[in-house]
Amino acid sequence: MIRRLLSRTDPWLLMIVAAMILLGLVMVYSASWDVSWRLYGDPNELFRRQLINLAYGMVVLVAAVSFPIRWLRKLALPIIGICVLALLLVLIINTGDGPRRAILGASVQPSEMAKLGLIIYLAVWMESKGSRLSEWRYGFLPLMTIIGIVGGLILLQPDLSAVLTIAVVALTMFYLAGSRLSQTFSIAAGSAVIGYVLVRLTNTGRARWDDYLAGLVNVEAASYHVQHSLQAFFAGGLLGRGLGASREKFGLLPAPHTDSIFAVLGEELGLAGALFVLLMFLAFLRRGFKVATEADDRLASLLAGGVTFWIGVEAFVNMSVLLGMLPFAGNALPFFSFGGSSLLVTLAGVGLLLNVSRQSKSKSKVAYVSPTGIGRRDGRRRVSRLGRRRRAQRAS
Amino acid sequence: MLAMGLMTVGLLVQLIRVQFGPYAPVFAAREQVGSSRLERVIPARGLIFDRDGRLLATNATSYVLEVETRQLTSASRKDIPDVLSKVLLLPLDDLEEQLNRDWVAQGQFRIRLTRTDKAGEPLPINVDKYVAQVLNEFLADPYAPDLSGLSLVPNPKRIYPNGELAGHVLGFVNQENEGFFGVEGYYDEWLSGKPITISRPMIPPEARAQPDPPGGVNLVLTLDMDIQQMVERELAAAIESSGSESGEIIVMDPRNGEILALAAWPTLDPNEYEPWLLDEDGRDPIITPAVGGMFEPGSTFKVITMASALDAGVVEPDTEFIDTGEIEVGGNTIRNWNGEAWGPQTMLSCMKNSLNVCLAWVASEKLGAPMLYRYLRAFGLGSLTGVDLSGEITGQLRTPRHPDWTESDLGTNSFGQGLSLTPMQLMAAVGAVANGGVMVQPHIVRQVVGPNGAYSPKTIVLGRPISAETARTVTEMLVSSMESEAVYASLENYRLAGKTGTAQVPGEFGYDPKWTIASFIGWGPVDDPQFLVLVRLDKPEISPWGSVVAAPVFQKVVRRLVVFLEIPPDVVAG
Repeated sequence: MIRRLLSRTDPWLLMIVAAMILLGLVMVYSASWDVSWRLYGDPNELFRRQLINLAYGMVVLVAAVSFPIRWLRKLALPIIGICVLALLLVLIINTGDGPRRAILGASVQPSEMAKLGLIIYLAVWMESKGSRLSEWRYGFLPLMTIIGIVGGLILLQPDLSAVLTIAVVALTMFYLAGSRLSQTFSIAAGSAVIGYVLVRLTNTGRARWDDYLAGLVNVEAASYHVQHSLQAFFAGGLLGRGLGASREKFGLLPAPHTDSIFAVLGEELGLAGALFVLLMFLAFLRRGFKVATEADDRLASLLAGGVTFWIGVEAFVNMSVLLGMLPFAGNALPFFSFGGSSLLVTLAGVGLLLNVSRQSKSKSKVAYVSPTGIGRRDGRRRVSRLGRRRRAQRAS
Repeated sequence: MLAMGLMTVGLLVQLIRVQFGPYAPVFAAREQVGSSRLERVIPARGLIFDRDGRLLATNATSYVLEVETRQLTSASRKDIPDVLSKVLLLPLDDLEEQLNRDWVAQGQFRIRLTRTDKAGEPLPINVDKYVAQVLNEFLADPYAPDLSGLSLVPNPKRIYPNGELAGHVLGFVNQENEGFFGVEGYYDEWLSGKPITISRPMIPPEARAQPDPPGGVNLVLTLDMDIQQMVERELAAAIESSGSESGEIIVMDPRNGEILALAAWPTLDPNEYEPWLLDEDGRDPIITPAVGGMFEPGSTFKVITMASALDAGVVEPDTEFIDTGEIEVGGNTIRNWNGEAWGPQTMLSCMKNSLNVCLAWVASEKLGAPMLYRYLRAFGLGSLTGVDLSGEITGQLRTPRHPDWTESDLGTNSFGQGLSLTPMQLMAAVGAVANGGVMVQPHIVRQVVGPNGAYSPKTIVLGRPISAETARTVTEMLVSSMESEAVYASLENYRLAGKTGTAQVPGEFGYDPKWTIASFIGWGPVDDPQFLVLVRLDKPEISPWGSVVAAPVFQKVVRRLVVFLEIPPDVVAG
């Protein structure tokens, strides 16, 4: 069944994702064993967890592929409701001074869930609003409210980069859904102002912004993290030190197996490896947007566009940060970074994307009907003709 | 899409810029430096053994409590003082104050917790391995009190398994691993070895074997712990029975200067040396008084004066002298110990009866100042013996060149007044008489055992102040004087030589009328001297006289000593 399901999805997308996940696994093992040994006394522990995460992720992916997208119209509200509840829970359960980002023994990060939940909800909501989306009262204000609630809750954790990701993705979806350009730009401008204020107000935000400005001009003045990340890229050279031979991953580069895995990859596989990853993400974006434009209906299209853009934003922000081009944001590199929540949610998103591609594929069959076909029941050659339903479709 | 395209181009540019851009040399330079942490490795301090290889000083690990101020949480600010005050019985408010100061604002990220000693000085809190284990378990247990921020830094600690036994010989090692006083102080540089700085790579694949720091040497002392313990017991018993304030017993082999036992009261436990650092009555307590404390020797010094006079040939043992009970030297009238006139005497009976007037006459009329002081110099008075114990002082000897020297000093010095010496100086000087005129340097280390082998210091001859002949004559005089004056000190069947001493204690306004220093110095067997023993008791209550207080202690010590040293009796009882 799984084979049948996947066989009808976009093969390029499938291969790109599979390739990135496999390379990601190799990199996680390489980057995590030292951390794993320090934390758990077993170099394989984190890798084992990532394999289990991946197994869950594959189940989620298959479920998302086989899931009828139209059901989302009914499920969108419960989904966003659960996300908001989880976000509230994380704030209530965890106490103390540090960031409150996870529940259930630090294994579930609701902000990751909320990203996909919000994309689904916005897709359904924008579809339902149709052309009235561009009206001020029906489009702009409710959108702001939704983003405000979800983003506000995440901001309280605080997780600034997740808020900004959500805002950018929502805005893009708003634009894709057909709002006026002027409106989108006004929101973008407003968000930028609000974002700037947020960054200046929070301590981590301000420190990171200052680090960023200093680092752009002079690499030596950049933050510790960026300096070591750039050091890793430099040390990698053209072809890298070789798989597993990174030096920066041993306690110098912070979070080598999660946020900084791209830098470890750059050190071990060099410029060639980094470019390969960049190309893979570009290919993913291209296939993803292709699926979105070729989708059956507006919901599928918005959903595919949102998911693709979201994964793209995460990836590009992560890579830009590690190369010192964006102020520091602690987000994961999709498909590569260690982390259960991130991988699971990313794979769920990819599942939905493949799901859309499956349906757009079935539609494209309508356009290219083969002149001859091989009959299934009696094995006789027969002149092709459309089935009853499709004839009806074409007729309509 | 436009934004994505821009970002892609940006990423490409940056990837290439990092590799070939203007900062490439910076990165390349950092690659060269490598990532390693400099670490100072302190070698284990050398061990100290007695002459039979019994352990006197060794090392253990204790832990200093430090706090990483940035890791403190609101819970641990409360829990750390709470737990520490209960486990270590320290005042809670002091600890709370230390933790709740705003260290980060002061730029202090790592503080060392302290406790307050009796004098109000802060001392680092040191915990042993058992407390450290409890604290480590608390740190590891998420349900235990929150101690986050606390860290235990291992710190070498010196351990003296015998406690106060030979404490004054050993000295002690402070928390900074520096030795003070005694052997620890004298041989500090050798014992501590050389700390080296190594760079530890932080990259596991680059880790490699690191050189060990050159370790400290081990020392084998000349002390015999059996004799040391016996002597300390006898001293304690003597202090107890005589009601003395302090006291000392030293046992030395006069032939080679090896110190077999050195006991001092009050005793010092080097494990708990802190009370000895305090200035209780505004005076520093004297550690290792054998070299660091001086006293007026009194009549024991007559041995030196008489030996000098005999060696100079100005008197013979049977030279006659009429004792009138007083003599005036430099305007100062000198009387005998009982103030009486003893009539016609020989030099022999002068020593027997310990007559001050007689000795003052010998020094002033017969010997004269230049000769006397030349002999005293030759006996090493006024200069260090060079014994390998830390904190040795020279004592006080005013020679005629000294501006404060007066003619009367000549008279008083002859019987041990008006000059101060350390017990070790007296041991060395009298040791010359015992050892046939050859003065050897006292020493405490028998063997230095280093990584490249062992080295045994040779016996050092400090000089020959008197001839062998003179030494024999003085010895015979003292043997016969012991038989009459110091019967309490003599031991049946052994031929011993010795002299009592009763010195007045110089105070701010002349000599104290009540207190004395009772002493006895003697050696044996006189034909082949194997031990020289000094007994000194300060301010005894039961009797001021050395012959009554110190002489019996000498006898008790020697009675045991001949057994330990396996010395056969000189006279086989028939």
